[in-house]
Amino acid sequence: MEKTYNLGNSVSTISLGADIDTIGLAASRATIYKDGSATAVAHSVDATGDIATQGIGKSNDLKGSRLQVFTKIALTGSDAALRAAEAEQLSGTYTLGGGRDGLKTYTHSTKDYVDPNVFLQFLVDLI
Amino acid sequence: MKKYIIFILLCAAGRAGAQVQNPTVSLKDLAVPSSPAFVITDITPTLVQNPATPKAFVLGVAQSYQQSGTGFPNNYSAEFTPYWWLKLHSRSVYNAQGIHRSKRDTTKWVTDPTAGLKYTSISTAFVNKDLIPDTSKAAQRVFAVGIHATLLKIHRRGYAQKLKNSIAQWHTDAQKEFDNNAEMLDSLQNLPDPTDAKARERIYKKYSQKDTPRLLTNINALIEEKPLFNLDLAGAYSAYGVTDQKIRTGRVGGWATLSSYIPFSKQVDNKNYFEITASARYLSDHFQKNDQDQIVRADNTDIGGKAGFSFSQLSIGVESLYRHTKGINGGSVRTIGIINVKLAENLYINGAFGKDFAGPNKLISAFGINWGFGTEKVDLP
Repeated sequence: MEKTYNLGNSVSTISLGADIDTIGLAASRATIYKDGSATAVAHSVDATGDIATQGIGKSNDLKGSRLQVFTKIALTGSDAALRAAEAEQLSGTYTLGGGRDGLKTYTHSTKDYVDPNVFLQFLVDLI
Repeated sequence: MKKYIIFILLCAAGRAGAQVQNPTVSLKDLAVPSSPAFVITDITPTLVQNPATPKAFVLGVAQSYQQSGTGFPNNYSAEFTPYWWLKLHSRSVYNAQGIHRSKRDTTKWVTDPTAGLKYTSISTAFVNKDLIPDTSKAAQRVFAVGIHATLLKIHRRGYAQKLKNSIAQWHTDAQKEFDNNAEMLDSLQNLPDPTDAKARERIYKKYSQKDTPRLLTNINALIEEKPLFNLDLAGAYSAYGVTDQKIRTGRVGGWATLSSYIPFSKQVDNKNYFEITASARYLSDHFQKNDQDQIVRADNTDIGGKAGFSFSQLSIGVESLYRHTKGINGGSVRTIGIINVKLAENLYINGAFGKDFAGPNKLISAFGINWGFGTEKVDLP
């Protein structure tokens, strides 16, 4: 499970997309952490939790930073067993592009179920 | 009522009037079953497998086959929704709830009345059971398969827009939550080992929520709102292995229920409705004993309707059923009034009074008390 993305030395724009697969209510935010500061670079625009593929910054600006995509999912319904089943099934797929690694897809987000919420965190070091 | 009656503390039933007919069908029996394969074989499996993948289903059947040692899976029951087997990556709360932007006016949201079709479920059962009412007590190898679908679900005007607006409000507030929890998000990404679940759990305890839990409660109330019209269908087929070589069709059934719910108020948390339900069932049993003790095929068609009021503490209504048996001229009708009262949390009284099938003087009256666990409201049975 690779947790880095090689940006290369160009000044190209790095793109990010997130696809959250759930029937719950989802909200996502992408943040760049660098030198002790945090900058929100993208977010979902509706409760799909998806982040449409978009530029998150220039390659040389992002070098040495860490990208976090954090998603909060609220599971609907009164049946706890169904909520638990959905918590098990839901997932996130993340795509980075524009760097030396080209278009690269990741699925290694962590998942934490705190009923009725599920939190997904995707982390990747931009090198 | 789901999860209803863990045990019955007391159930007293009194029947008055002239002779009471042998057990007869009730409207509840006509309702579309969620697991028709189990209903058609008269089984109530204690363990129903819910395979999450086709592979898990095949493995479950194979394992049961291997364990039985008889060349037939023994007492294996499964229920699954093929939609959950598909890794579509297009799932979202919007398509799950069957709402989308109107094609004619993209500023408006509408419901898709057939959205429930994707949750069509399949039930299967392999049992060794004596379902042929002959003198032999030998069990047959019974295989049954059933399908259940919600064909139509029509909500009241404005429902989709209201649900979409509530969801949008939740999303906006969830985004604000990220601002308020910036410190927590920072410490989360800064963990020495981000895969340490216990460390993450400690951090999530600090996650502060403001309005999203209340909005989620509102959205759940909207999702649970009863539709204006609902049409459920089910079908089932069973085959009996009467000998090692002979397989015969056993029972075939079809069910349909059309319901309409009219709310008493427009409040989101409204639980009071006027309900009208029409149900129909066709059941063909190729091995039924007739009055001459002969095993013949019997085809029954039952049609019923129910109307009543359902409040949080009380439900009251009337139901009428018509039964037609193929080969017998005319049918018989049963009409009863029903009442359910919630006396206290988990303590219910129910009663029925009316005219039973066959004959003008056959009356039925019943009274019962149920005590169970749960917080369900009183519903018409």
